[in-house]
Amino acid sequence: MALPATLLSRVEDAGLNASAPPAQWWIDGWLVRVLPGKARRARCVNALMAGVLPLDERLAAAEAACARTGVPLIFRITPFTQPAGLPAELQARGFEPVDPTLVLVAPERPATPPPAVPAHLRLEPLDGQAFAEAVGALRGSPPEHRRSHALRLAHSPAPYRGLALRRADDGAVLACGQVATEPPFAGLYDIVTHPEARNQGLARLLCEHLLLLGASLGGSTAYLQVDAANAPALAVYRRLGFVDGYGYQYLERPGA
Amino acid sequence: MRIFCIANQKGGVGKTTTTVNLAAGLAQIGHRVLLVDLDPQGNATMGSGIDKRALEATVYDVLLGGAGIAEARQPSPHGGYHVLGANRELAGAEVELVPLEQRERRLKNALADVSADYDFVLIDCPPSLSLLTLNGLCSAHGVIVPMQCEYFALEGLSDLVNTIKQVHANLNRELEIIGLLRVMFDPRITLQQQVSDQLKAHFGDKVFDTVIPRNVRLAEAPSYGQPGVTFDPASRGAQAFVAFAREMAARLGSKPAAAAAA
Repeated sequence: MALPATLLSRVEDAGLNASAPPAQWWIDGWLVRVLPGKARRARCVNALMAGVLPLDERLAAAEAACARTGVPLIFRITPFTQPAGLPAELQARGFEPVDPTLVLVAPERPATPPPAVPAHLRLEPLDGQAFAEAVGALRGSPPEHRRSHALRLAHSPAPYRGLALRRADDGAVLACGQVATEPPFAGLYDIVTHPEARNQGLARLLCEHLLLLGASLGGSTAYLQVDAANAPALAVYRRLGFVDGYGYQYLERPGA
Repeated sequence: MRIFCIANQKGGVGKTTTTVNLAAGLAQIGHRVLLVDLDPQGNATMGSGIDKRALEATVYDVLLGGAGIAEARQPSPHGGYHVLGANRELAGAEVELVPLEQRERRLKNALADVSADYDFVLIDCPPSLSLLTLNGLCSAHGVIVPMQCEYFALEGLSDLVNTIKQVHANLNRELEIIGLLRVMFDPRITLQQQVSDQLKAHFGDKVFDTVIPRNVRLAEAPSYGQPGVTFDPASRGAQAFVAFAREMAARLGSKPAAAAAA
């Protein structure tokens, strides 16, 4: 059964809040985010209102804002993008779709007792700085991406809480993830498992605890954004009770 | 004069809200209060109704010896207490303090000069362990830890507890945790109730009886440059902070200066 559009619109709002970079521009109805780093959602244009300027003037203004921090101009296209004809106009100007993503939602998910953490693992909270380092190490991100991630977490209007599953022996991080809470929503972000620790149920274990953490802060409806082609991750999330909300993708110029 | 740090290792847990409203609550029941903003973000300064960009002297000047507290302090226009303010400049103190003598005790020494002026000093400490935080912890008799009753709250306290133990062992034998204050509490969330019970089981008397509810008026007040306690005295949040001020004062056996003199 499809979820109500009003709920999905609010989930989109919560996702925008949880992705807010420390600096952004509002340009004629476009929310222009320009934080250099890995996360596209912190360096993209969200076209939220129809605006009053001709498209090419808006593009020039957004381009200039992006150029100031050296990020390419890319658009995040959702079912809420305004006006509905914008994607076609952008594609006519050479922008191409990339990164189809699904937003999954688990409305009013009942809080269940947390699953036990096996003796060979340790589950620990991580502050924003430590989390950016841990997830950066798992992804092999360069130091500047880790710094910009930590900066964004520190300034997020929706507070983030990070957890790491460590190997008990040596403390190595095998999986980590975080939850951004804005009651009644809790968003799961940056769920990453070490390549050698996959298919052991770690992501699911971690997510169960993150969902409980979010729920304890008032986030009873959970959401997340996942690469539409990532079948293993989708399977984990569906088992946790997430259902399809809506899809989005990015439009960027080739080679951006 | 009793000196307390308000500290937690996470941002966004209501640390500054607690500092500003406890200051206003203590002032309201007749105590003389100085709020020291040790956070370069200057949120406690702004939330007390003082423009951080317009300050002639700040806690930065006091730490580096350029001004005394008596010169740098300002009255909070609505709060009924004094503020030793902070702004971005304070971030630089981290480096500039390094070569100075008694670099962890600069604030403590400066506070000694105004000890006759106040019943309470409340220090808003930044979350990271730094020379600024150390100056706060070396000055203080105790630490008040505001916390949300979230899952993993107990585990999240371990770094702060270790820091306090280390400062206690090496720099300040008086330092102790005065108490944990449950903030932004929502009794409708069963999980928060459970965590609250865990906190009491683990920390016993160290958990303050007063609970600060999640309250929108407390959240709005900083935009008006006022503590919630004076911005909307009838709100549940404001009343909880006044109750907390009474609980603090009662725990410490402290009477308002006016009453003590009578």
